[in-house]
Order: sequence, then structure tokens, then C-alpha cells
Amino acid sequence: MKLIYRHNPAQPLTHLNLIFPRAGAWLDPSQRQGLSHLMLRLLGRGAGGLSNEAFNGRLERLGATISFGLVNDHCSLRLTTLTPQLDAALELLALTVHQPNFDPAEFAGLQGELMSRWRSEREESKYLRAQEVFLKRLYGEGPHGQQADGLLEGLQASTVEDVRAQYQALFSRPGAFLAVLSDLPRAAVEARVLGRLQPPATADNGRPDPWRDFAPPRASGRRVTIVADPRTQTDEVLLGAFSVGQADPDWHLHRLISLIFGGDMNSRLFRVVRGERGFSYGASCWYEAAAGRMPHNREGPFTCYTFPSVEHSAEAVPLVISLYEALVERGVSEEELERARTSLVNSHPFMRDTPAKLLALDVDAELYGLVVDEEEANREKLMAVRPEDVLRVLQASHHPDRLQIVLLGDPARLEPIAAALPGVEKSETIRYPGE
Amino acid sequence: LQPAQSFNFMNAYPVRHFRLENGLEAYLVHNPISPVVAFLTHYTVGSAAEGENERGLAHFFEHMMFRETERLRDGDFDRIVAEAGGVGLNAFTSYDTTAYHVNLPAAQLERVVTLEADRMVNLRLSPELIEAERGAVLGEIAMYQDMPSEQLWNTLMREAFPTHPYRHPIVGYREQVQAFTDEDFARFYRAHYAPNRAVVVVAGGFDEPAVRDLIARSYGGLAPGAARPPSAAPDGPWEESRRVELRHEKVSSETLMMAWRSPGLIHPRLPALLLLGAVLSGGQSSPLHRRIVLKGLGTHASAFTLESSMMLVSPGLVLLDVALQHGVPAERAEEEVLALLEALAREGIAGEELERALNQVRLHWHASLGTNMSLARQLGGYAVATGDPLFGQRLLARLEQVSAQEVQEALRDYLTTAPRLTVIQRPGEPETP
Repeated sequence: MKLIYRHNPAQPLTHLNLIFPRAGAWLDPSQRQGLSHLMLRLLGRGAGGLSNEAFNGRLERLGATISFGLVNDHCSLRLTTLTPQLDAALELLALTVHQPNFDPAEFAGLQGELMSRWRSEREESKYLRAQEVFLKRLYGEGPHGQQADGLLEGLQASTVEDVRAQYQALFSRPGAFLAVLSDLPRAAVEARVLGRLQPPATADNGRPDPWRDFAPPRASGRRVTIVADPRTQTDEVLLGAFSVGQADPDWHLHRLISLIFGGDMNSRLFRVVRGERGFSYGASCWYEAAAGRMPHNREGPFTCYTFPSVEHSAEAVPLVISLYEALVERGVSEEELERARTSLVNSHPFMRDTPAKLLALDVDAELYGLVVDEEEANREKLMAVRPEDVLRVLQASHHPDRLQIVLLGDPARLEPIAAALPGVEKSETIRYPGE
Repeated sequence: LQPAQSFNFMNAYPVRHFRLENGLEAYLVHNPISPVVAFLTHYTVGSAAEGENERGLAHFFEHMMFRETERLRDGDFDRIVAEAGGVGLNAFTSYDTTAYHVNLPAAQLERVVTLEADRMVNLRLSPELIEAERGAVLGEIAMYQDMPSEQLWNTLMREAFPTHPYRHPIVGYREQVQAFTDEDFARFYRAHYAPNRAVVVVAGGFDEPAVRDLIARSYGGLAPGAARPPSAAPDGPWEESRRVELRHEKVSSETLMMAWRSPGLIHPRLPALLLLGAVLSGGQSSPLHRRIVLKGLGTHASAFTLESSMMLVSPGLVLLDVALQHGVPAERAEEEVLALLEALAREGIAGEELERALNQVRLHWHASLGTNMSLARQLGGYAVATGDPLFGQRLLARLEQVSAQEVQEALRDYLTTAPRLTVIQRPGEPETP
């Protein structure tokens, strides 16, 4: 098994991440959305015949934890331990990977827990609800817009047999690798880790990778979805359309666009929507390919987000759209570009300023073939950008005429706002599907 | 510039501390493996220093610090920091401090230290910008009002502190925030922003003599202001246990919060209470997790002290919070919690439980110090709260010495034999006042 390593002498800890490429939430079967999440959580509840209590008691007395990571296109198991206890903690991680209990009683308890947690998180965060609808509207039905924690009905329908099958589906995919951050030298890590943690079986499960031939759905016109939530103090506003991924040769131009339009306190969205008009506490934008949920190298949406106080939504929603239209139509000024170039050049050291970030770059290279430019190459590339280059890219890869717009709040207020927006081909009001 | 003191943080990070004649305290934390720096400025003022009609002013003022000064136009501050390569420019207001922070390439530190010194004394509080920012602040308050957890928290703090200003939300009240006048801001600035009310921390890889010189040049000529006012007197002991219930139309499951008075961050028994929190809820094998989560009653259960999690100056609370599963009444979890506490108070803490708790604390302590900013926040936060930047390190060392008997006695004295406050949030229509 391949092992990627970075040295961190400043902390007496070892972080070990066992990563399964192309084995993520997209592999959840239809009607079982959330199954991967269930399976990974159940892994931590007993292994090798040790009960949940015995297993975690042993692990936690060592000063160690095992957690997991799950996004659309990959998953990981993470061990963090005080380094002197690495050997004993590794034995427990190996049991988790190779001999999970998948105890039916633990499964039943976990299922109820995750369903309650799923509800509570969405009751607390309107953004989560709006974002879930927004991604589903963009990606359509199917696995590409699948959120890691799934759907309530998917969690409810899953069985412990499904969990066992999902374990095979995710962990039998080839290419698993290790990423390690430790105060131990590389040789010591390799000797301890590779000897104890054998590679999982690598027979492909036969399911094709849906991202391989992924083509973004082509929407025509603007579509508005109002998610009804009648008693709110602020509305959620998400709008966007498919654009590019980090593998795009002009990705450096897109970094500039994102920064200028909504990337910091000096950006257009923030200055106008919050600073000048006081409509909202925040306004920002991002490329989904840089957000971490979807494959970084594939096309993903460009998203604008704000959450105006309800009395300001009628002005804030068309304002954000008009700012975006102006960006795509007229591009950026030389002054804005100079500021953004200087900012990205001078902040380049923060791409690599800690061992943990260096390791994350190594993992991105392994998963997606993405390599961050060295400082000088980054500078040269950015300093060569002219406003006309930005405008060319904006007009080729941004589509304000095809926006998916999701508004969450009181339909009585939001429907007239939606009706007044230009270019809307379809508008509908829905209840949040999880309600 | 007064003579510098040198010490070492965690046997890994050399620290130099010096004090300017005008009272500004500076800590330079050298991180030998870092190519960049974190720059953090704490002011010794937070929401607890506000007057009766000023609730939310410290937080609103934090927003205004990013607008204009006598030298800079609105927007210049953010622009200059961005051009310097600054990342993570932001600020936060807490009960006892307001902090401004950014990460920078070391070579750009001078530009930002100069800006920070400028806004310490030269802020322009124009009525137009106050009005524009008021909308953003009200938007932030509205955002919190939409979160069920905020309503629960505000109820808990209001009930737990009958008179102490921790009872008020840090962001204040909408009606008061709408009414703040230009003069309120000017008065607050004069009263609380001055070099003798600031602690600055630079953490990362830098040239120490140059940074010392930079801080002395940038801040040395600023006149000191009024001294830090004394903290509000703590509330007296609770006389009896109380229960409060509230309803929220957007939650479908119940939440239970239980609180007890705790003695304060620098109290000698605080380490035992901290360790008690880790014994109760540190990890999936902890007794609270087993009794609540693994029994299918809740999705989350934790115990902690408020003064350590928020670096409070005044005594805080021991808090225990449980998020219930759908359909499970809070009383069911409450019975389990009380039975657990009684059993531990009666039978004591097993050696294995103490070992687990201590190792989990060690693990999370080290894991929390992975960035320059986390180092700066640890030292600066404790310097403001206790006067001792190494307080966190000393606390960890003290935790290593705490015996099972001390934890058991703390549990008896502060929890099982003491009055408690129970707050339950249930689904349903809120009662109209």
C-alpha cells in the first residue's frame, strides 16, 4: 500500500488517514442514501469480537481516537494518537478495517441516533436545508449531488445486511493509500504502519465510476425553487450554475474571479451587500470544486450566497443577480485585478505553511492529479493575467442566464420576489423534503 | 520598552514577553518550523463590560473597527491586508475580550501592525458608516434568532446569572442595537481602546529583534487610556434548584441542559472539575456517552466548564448538555444523568476511567495547537483571562496531578450536593410573553 508521509516535530502525535479513492457517498444505492455514512459510523462501534464498550475503552485509554471522513467521491478512516501509543492504536485500527463487528443491536441504536441527528442539524441550520435542495436542483437525480449524510428515508430503509454489502462496495475498490503526519521519522512510521496494516482486498466491485463520464446537466433559463419556512428572521439565498473544476487550465483565473467577486471582505459582494447596503451579515461566492464535497478536478457549480434580513430580501436577491450579471458582462477592473493578483501572490505561502497542509496537498495530488504551483510559477502565472483574460473566461464558463436559484423563507414574501426576477423559466414552491 | 522576559511554551516554542511604558503587553511566540506569522490583538473588553443600555455595543464596535480611521478610507484596511497576503482576517467578541486576528507572511507584518496601531487610537466613527454597519449587525442578530440552539443558550445564561452581565447575549438585543447613538460609540472607544487595554501576540517564524522594534515603534508613542474597570461582582450562590422550560416550533426533539455554579478559572479546584468533564464525557466509552447515546436516548452528551471553554474572567458554570433522540423526553435522560452522578459520587472514579479521561485531554490539548493562530489564541486568551499566558500549560500539568478522590470530592461539592439549574427545550409553539 502506498504511504504518503509528512514530518511534524512540533506535536507528539501521529495522524494516520487510510483513504479509499472513488469510494464515497455516490456509491449509496438508490433508496439507501446515507448508507455509507451509517457503515463508517458503525465501524467505530466494536471490532475483532471486542464489544463497542471494550473496543473504545481500550482505544481511548491509549489517548487515541478513530474517526472517519466521507464526501461524494471518497472516504477515509482516521486514527489520531499520542505517538508513544501508536503500536497499540494501530492494532485497533487494523481490527476496524478488517474485522468490523457490524453488530445488529449496535446498528439499530446507531440508525436511530443518526436519523435524530440528521433532523436536528437541519432544524438548526437553514443553510444546510437550502444547500441540499440547491445541489439536488443542479445535479439532478442520481449520485452526483449526493450529500454525505444522506436522506432520512435512506437512513431509515437501510439494514445491517445493507451495511455489510456497503463495506464490501467501498473497501474493495482498488487504490487505497495511507497519508501520515507524525513526529516520528518516515522510516519508523513505515516500519510500524506497513507491517501492521495490510492493504484491504482490491477486487473492484464492478460499479462504474459515475464521475468518469460526468457531463453537467444543461439547464435552459433560470429556475427558482422556494423552500417554504414561514417564520424566519433571515432568508437563505443560493444561486449558481455549472462552471469549471480545478483541472481547468484557467483555474488560476477562476481563483482571481472568486476572490474579486465574493472571496473576502474587500470583494464586490461583501462590500455592496453588507458594507454599503447593510442587507445581510454576509455575502460570498465559491467554486464547488474548491469546497471539498465533490471531486476537485471535475466541473462543479459556481455559487453565490447571502442571507438577508427578511425586510431586505426584496432588494438583496435582485441585487446579487445584477452584480453577477455585471461581472460576467463587463469583467473586472484593472484595479480589482491588481489587488487580487497581489493578494494571491503574497498569500501563496499559506498553501504550504503547516505540515498538515502539505499533507493535504499530497492527498489532492494522489486523488485528483492536482499539483499546486510553486511560488515562482504561481507569481508568473498570476501576474500575466489581464482584465481581458478574465472577461474571456467569465463569458465562456459562467452562465447567469441558466441560474438555479434557491430561496428559503416565507413563500408569501418570496414568491413576489421570484416573480419579479427577469428570465425565470420556471418557479415552484416546495416544502423541504426532509420535513 | 521594559526588559523582556523569556520562557518556553510546551518545551517547543520560545516566548519573549515585554511591556511598553504605556502598558501594552506583547508576546512573541517563536515557531521554528513556520514560514508565516499569526498576529492577534486582544482588548480587555467584552460584552461583560457593557452598561445596562449598551448590550451589544462591544460586538457592534468590533464591526466598526474594520471601517475608517483618520488615515484610511472605508475599505482600505481590508484591501491593504489582502494585498499583504493576509488570510483569515477576522475578529470575535466574547464576554471578557474582543480579539482581532490575521495570518500573514512574516515580511508583511509591518504593514498590518501599523494598521492595527492606527485603528487603536485613530478610528473615525462616521454616522453614515455606523448606519450602514447597523444593518449587518442586525442581520447577524436575526441569523442567531433563527437558530434554536441560540434561544436555548440565551435562556440558560439568563437564568444562570441573575445579575452578572454574562446573562446578556454577546450580540445584545435588537431594540438596543437599533438605538445606539454616535456618542455611544465615541464613549465606548475612549473608555476601552488604548495600549494599556491591549495584549498583542505574534506567533510563527520571525526575526525577534525586528518584531520587538516594530511593536515598540508602532505602539510606543500612543498614550495610555483609562484602566481596565473591575469585573462585575459574581452572583451569590444559588439557594435552590430550578427548572425552566421553553418551546421552539422548529425543533422536533428535546434538549436538556443542566448547570451548576463553578468556582472560576484560577480556583484551585477547577482542574478537578475539568477532569470530571472528561471522565463523564471524554470519548465513546465514557459513562455519559454509554448511558445516553448508546442506550438510544440521545445523539450527543457532553460535560464541561464554561470558564475554560470560553476563557472567562469571572466564575462560570459546570454544564452538561444532552441532545435527545426523536420522541425521547428530556426527563428520561435527566434520570440517567442524576443516577450516574450519584453513583460516581458514592462509589468514586475507577483508575481506568481517570486514565482514559487524562489521555483524552492530553490528545485534544496537543491536537488543538497545530497552527500559529491556535498558539496565539492560547497564550493571548489566557493572558487576558488570568494574567498568565502559560496558564493553559500549567493547567495541563495540574490535571496530571489530580487524584480520583479529588474528582469525586469536586463532584460531590459542586454537583450532587449543590443547587442546579435545569433548562429543557421542547418542540412546540413558544409561549408569548
